[in-house]
Amino acid sequence: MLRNLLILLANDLAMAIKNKTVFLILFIPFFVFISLDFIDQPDVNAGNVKIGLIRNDTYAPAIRRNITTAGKIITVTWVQTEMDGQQLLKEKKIDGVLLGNTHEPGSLTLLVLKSESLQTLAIVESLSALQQAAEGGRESWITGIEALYAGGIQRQTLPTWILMIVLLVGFIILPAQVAEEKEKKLLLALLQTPTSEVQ
Amino acid sequence: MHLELFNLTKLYAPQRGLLPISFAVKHGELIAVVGHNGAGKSTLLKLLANWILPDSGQAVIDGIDLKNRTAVVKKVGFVPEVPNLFDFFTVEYNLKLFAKLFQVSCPRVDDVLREFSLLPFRHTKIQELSKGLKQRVNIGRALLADPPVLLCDEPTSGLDFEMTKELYRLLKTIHNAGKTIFFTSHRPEEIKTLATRIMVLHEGRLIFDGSPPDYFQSAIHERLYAIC
Repeated sequence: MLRNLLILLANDLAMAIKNKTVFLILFIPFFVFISLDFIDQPDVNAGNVKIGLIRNDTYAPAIRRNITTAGKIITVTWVQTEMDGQQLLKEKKIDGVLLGNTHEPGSLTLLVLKSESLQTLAIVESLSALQQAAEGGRESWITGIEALYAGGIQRQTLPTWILMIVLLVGFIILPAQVAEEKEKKLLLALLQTPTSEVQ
Repeated sequence: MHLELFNLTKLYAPQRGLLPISFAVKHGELIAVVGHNGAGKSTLLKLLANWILPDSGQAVIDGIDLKNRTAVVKKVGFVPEVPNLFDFFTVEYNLKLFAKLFQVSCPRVDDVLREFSLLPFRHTKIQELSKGLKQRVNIGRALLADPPVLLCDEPTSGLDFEMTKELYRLLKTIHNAGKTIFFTSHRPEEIKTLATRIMVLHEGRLIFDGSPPDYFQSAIHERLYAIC
């Protein structure tokens, strides 16, 4: 029975290639990337990043001073706790939260929504530029980046991709196969043999 | 082989389809079913092949009711108008696949390939064959299980004169091998020398059932097929 199913599947696939309906699947990644491009563009603002600083955290005095005085490129929002910072981050009121690194005094851990995003890149670039201007070529302030949501945008859109494939197969390829079957009556030919309907 | 129909009926709409029809067929007859489009020729063959089920009536072949699909498919081979083969597979693979489904041995596939002069095309895909060759494979497929009755629904549809002649020669050979054959045609002139019996269907009714000489002398032929 499995063999029969595989044979029918191979035949259907060959028909889909012949009818060129299968090539429509190639439009899915194209469509997804184009739409993501449209969505991402207006949100990008690398000129001024919004950073959350925790009021009671132990930042190095030099870092605290430099960040709070760099008003042109960094807007600072003071929060009471890390949890408050995460909340603002989720609400997209800030782009990232800077946490003092307890293991390496004088360095920072950056907490962002997604590690692979333009906002993260903008924060790192802004802080690097600030650190370069203030202290010269020393080691970077940011020694670690933590993300609230794991995975990139592609991984997050994976369910949409799967859904689109299912819909595409359902709405485009299946009717073509049904039409082909109605014309050719291949299944009826199979039923002209002593095989049972279930098989 | 003995086939008998008792008031077999299949209606798609009132007065459209096949009105109650009864006849008996003896072993070794070569029956041409003729009639215009919509006369019920294909419906009759599809009923005999168990492709569709009748609204009423009964058809029995060697004591087996035609509604018993798995038993009937061993008794009847059906060749539809459009060859229903797997286009992307080779001739040999198509026959082997159906041989497996018919539960017949693989050497039978070689026999069919030889009998139907398909050996040079055994590795050719169905989609690359001409319509005449496809029809030959289709007939070969129907005869894989060696059924006593062969039903061909307009086997010459879309074929040129040469191919039509060749196909009729093939039907004659199969008939000489002891098979009972039903085939439909739009053109009675073509089957004058081929059929041993002619049935004429008109608007779902059997209006003539007899020998070819009787048919061509009857007023029915003149009435149905007179050009002017």
